[in-house]
Amino acid sequence: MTDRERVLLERGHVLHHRPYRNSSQLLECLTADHGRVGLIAQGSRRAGTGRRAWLQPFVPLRLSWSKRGELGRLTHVEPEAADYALRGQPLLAGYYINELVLRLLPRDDANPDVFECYEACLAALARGAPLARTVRLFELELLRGLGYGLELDRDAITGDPLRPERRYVFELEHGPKRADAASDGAAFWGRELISIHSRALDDRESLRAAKRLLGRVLNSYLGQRRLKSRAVLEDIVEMGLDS
Amino acid sequence: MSSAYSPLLRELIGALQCLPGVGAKGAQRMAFHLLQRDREGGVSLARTLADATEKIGNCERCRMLTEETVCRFCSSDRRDDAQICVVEMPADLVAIEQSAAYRGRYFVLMGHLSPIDGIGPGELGLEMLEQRLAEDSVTEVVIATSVTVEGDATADLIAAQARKHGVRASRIAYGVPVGGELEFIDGGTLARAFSGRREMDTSGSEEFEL
Repeated sequence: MTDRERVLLERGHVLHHRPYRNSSQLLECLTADHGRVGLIAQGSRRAGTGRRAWLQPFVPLRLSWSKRGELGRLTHVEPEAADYALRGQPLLAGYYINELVLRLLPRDDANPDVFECYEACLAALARGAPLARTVRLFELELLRGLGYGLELDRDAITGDPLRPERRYVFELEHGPKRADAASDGAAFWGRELISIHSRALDDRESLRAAKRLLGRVLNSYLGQRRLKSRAVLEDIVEMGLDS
Repeated sequence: MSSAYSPLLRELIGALQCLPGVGAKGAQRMAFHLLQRDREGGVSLARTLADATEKIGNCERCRMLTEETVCRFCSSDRRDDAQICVVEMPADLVAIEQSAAYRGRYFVLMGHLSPIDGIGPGELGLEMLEQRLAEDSVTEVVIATSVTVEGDATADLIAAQARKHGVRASRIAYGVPVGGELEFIDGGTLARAFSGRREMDTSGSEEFEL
């Protein structure tokens, strides 16, 4: 039980880092086969270690560590590929998806699906894919990877396929059901839910609906503590500095 | 901490642990040193600490730590008003001053953009910087943030701000250190050095004569 776990050259990403002790860093990493792990990089803030250049978010890495208990000790790091070089809005979106993973994926819970959709999202951000669509698709895949996938193709009560021209309300953990007059503000068009379900999201209307739906679902899993990166993003947009 | 110590001593040891990198053992060692060997030093430390925490605030113009309303870098009349150098921390400002490479004004962010920690434009005082950039005398903002993802993101925000006010934005160069030999430089730094290479003056000088 107190065995030291040794992991060699596993693919991973730094999600977040903060200073630790005099010259070390505490890293939160997302890895391919070990999920999210907390690692200490000893002496990485000291000048001339060269390591620090790699220990940043949005760089595909190979990580080795040994671990007993809650935190591991980083023993080796090397870049797996060139960094994604995100700037401007895609970079801010990158911080947002990092915070989502940090908040929703518990530590030491292996989840290759989350890793895969995380890398796919970074790659899409790096090649300049449409931002809102990329982020919504990530949110959908993240929820599915975490086992909270949304069932949006059938009426939760009757089991019938959704009809594009009908209005539905979405209930967490149940799914869509026919909207009545009282629920109108919170209702979605069937065609919006179908677009979200099929991952099409190729028009403004369905993107807006996806943002509204996923915002509600994510908030219910995030609980009281709201996402900090989202508030910062809003400030940046408000000041007109998001170019 | 062992409860064998008297309440006041326990309190002192506990209070010393607010310092970065000081744990229970270190705090205990410091407390004994002050009480046994250097009471005078302890008294002067307490007095200075009380004074400093009460009086030191941020400069009204550049956010540098100072006990004046306006720091000496902002009030000096021997500095160039056309340039503002933006740094992350007071220690960065001091490092630049020591290099004697720069004679303009400063702005200290007191950190860098870190959305996940909730550090955004408000926390970095970008509204204050905006007012500075709106001043007529300013023609260039020199961005001297760290060369990290966060430092780059911070630089982008400031560049966007400068653009809004028609102020030229530049970023200090990075790459091969002075005295650096290429074979010992890490790949990331070298890559940056290549992408940030600059043209050499080949305009042909006068004939060389000894």
